[in-house]
Amino acid sequence: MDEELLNADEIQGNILAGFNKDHQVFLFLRMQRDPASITAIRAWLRAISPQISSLSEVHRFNELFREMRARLAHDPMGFAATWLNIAFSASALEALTSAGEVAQFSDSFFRDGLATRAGDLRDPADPTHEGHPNNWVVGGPKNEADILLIVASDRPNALAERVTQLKAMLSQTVDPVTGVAPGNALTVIWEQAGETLPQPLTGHEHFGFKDGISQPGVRGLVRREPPEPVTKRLIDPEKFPQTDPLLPEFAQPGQPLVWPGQFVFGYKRQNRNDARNPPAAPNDIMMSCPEWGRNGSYLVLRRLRQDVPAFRTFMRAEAERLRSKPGFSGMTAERLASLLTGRWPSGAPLMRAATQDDPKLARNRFANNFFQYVENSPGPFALKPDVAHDADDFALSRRDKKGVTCPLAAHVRKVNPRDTVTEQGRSQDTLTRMILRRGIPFGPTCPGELETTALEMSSSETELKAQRGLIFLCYQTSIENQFAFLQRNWANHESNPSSGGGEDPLIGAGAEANGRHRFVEIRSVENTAETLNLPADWVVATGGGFFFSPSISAIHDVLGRTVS
Amino acid sequence: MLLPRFDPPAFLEDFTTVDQRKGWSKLVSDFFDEGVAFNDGFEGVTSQFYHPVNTDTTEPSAEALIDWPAFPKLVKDEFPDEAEKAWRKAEIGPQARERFMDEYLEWHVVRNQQNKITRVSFTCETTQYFGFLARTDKAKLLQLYKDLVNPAVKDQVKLEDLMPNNQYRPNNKWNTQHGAVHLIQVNNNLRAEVLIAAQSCILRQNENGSPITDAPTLIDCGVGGEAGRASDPKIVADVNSLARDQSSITLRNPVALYITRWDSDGLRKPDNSPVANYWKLVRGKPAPGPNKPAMGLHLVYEVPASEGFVVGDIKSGNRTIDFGGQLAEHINVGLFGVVCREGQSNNPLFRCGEQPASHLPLPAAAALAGELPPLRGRRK
Repeated sequence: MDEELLNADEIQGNILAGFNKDHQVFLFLRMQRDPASITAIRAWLRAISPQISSLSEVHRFNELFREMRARLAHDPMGFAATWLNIAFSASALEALTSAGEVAQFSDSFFRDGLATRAGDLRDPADPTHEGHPNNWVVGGPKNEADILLIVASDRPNALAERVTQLKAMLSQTVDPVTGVAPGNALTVIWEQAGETLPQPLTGHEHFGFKDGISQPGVRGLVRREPPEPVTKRLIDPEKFPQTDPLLPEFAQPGQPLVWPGQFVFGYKRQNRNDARNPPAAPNDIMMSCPEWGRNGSYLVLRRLRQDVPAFRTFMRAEAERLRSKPGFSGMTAERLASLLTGRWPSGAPLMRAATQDDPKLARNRFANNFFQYVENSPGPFALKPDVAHDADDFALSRRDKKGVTCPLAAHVRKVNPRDTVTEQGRSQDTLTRMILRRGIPFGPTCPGELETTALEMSSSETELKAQRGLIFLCYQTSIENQFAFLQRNWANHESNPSSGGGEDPLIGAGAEANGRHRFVEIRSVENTAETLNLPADWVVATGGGFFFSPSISAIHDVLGRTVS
Repeated sequence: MLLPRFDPPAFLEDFTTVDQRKGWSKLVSDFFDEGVAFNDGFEGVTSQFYHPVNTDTTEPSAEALIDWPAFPKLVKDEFPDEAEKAWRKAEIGPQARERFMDEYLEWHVVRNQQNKITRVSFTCETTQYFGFLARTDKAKLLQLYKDLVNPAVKDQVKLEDLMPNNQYRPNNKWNTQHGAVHLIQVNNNLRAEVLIAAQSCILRQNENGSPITDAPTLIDCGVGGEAGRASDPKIVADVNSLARDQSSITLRNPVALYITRWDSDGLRKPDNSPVANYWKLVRGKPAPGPNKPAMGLHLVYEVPASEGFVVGDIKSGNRTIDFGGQLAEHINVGLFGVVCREGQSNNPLFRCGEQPASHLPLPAAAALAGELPPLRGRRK
């Protein structure tokens, strides 16, 4: 295999491999910027850099975990890891290096910071709104985080222990020259826990839908001898050679391979006009950052509060309204919510399960993500003989240009339009927009369920209104052209990427901005259409940040450098 | 039902006589005739592209919005990580507009003495329309120019500048240095628009007989256009896809290019509060409702004097609006198709490079204008 060798000891582990832990804590830190504090912080960075979990470690653990789970048919007991990654805001990098160096990060979203760019994402403009950066729990203009620590573990106890340890280390940050600990050189300004939801919602987000099903595959090797790709290739190269250069090459059904430069600096990037080959030099390597940015990545974190009761109330009321409309009799809250998501709560895609949920399909990981929107799906890809799998004998997706089977603005269709020729002129361009998502829910599950109000009626106001949602994380090498593009150009747009259909009902913002409502169009098989008026955002940003996740030696040698 | 005639873009009310209305309709009609003849010229083909005045639009029919981002993709792709270089290239420098603004939207920037932008005007009107006015109503031509150029100099506009030797000159100084009254980029013309849609209706096949669905390949195969833009591949992909559905396809009346959507996301006043709506649709029709595209022809971005700051003070992130292109990034441009008779066509597929057997009729009205506008071509 002639793909690039990734520097797996340098790249932080959450980026390309993903921690995949059920228990995580995000520590948002503020740096003091006086010279003594900076010196102490640099010492702390030198001390902590060996503790940062690398791609090499996390990848190997994940592989071994999967192998054991496949053999045991359940999670291996006692096999656990606790990971740590670190990321920095542009402002923090400036304090640790210089304005001139940070100016070499070409991404203006990163340099400007999330609070400044919230309007671009259509976060609420009303300064009294919960979602306005002024009111964020972290990441607003007055409480911007300089450093983010991500701690993740399979074991809650190990996680708690590690977090305690890290906090202790913070207060021990000591100037090596003077031997003085400048008190608050680093303070935790917000501590955010994230937890996989308990059964039956494990792996789901708070609205009830299975999350994280579709991730891009990444080209590149974590090791050359023997060659080990960072993304496993499960398609049988002999039975299914994937020779059509106009189509992406898939690692597994539904998972296109994308050049690593889209996610990590210093590597070949994906071509807007070509599914297989990077752009011609000099644009072939993504390195729009200082030299020490190599092997690093931008991290977008958004603390998204989800209003579950409002979501359910809307679905029930709207389903009832729609039942009397031609083409939509029999509408249920679950079906409506699934139409707006693009998948059923189990994760089964509408494109392969048009009228009702199909948990069997959802459990078949090779069928569950194998579909497209505009043209009829080809037959299932042949997998390598050693890949254990059930046959994919589910109905293949059939062309749905008009958005009948899956609404054009359904969430999964909006952010990954697959074979659609978008407003950019090509479906291949979509591969350059992809992000690696590493989010995790937070907060207690909401009592009750989608269809009926019974359980909610007997729940307390406190339970219903508790803070819950998603700590959304994603990695990319261009916030502007990837995360922000998906949010601004597609999710928040009335017609992009499928030339119509309205805004993304789940993450599209703007219900309050300038008094605009959001609209989504759904169509029936009888060729009727209904435009739904979505008056309130069910998903509200309440914190976050744009960060840079450097290579491990950059943390030690550049950010943590000893300066005489 | 049959369309009675082609109306002026966005149902503009510039025309005052029946002759003008008929003349404009004939001008557009000729392009459709050419498009139909192109298709019929292929062996065994009954054109799926149809002339809506001559051929019925039967029910069920549907409209198809085909739109794309206004900022030129070719320029953007040259500088994937340096947005400012892209903005600069598209509009600064000799003939930047004519060379680079090739997605059917062009703009003109007015700056004040501090070199700050005070006004940006965006147009997707065509030379064909203004050339037609020059032939039929010079007074209106002059009036429109005065309305659409930099207001500071509008009283200086003279008919002789627009029509030296009584011939309309599209690249006159008022439409270049002092305004963007209509499109002048050689590929941004009405004939090109109609023909690229018409030519996309020919079905093409690979050596193995399977249909070619990839727009860049279709472009190379004979549709024309430039695969590296957003507009051409988007139009070709969407129209050819409808043709592969065996549908009949035409363009929706009134036929034109349109500014379909624009927004102010992320733009902030100097005090960091979000901007108010400083977009003014000067010509064209606004969106008929939320979640619907507009039929915009001419948009101006200018801050009212009462606000106390100018466009160049508006912030996007931590920088200011220093280029019209930054605003162009908030705009979609497009056209509208009409589709009917799905599944009823049964045309053969052709190999790459095959051309119609018979000769195309050249549009008479356009020939009258002195010059036949070219079809969509590659960037030179």
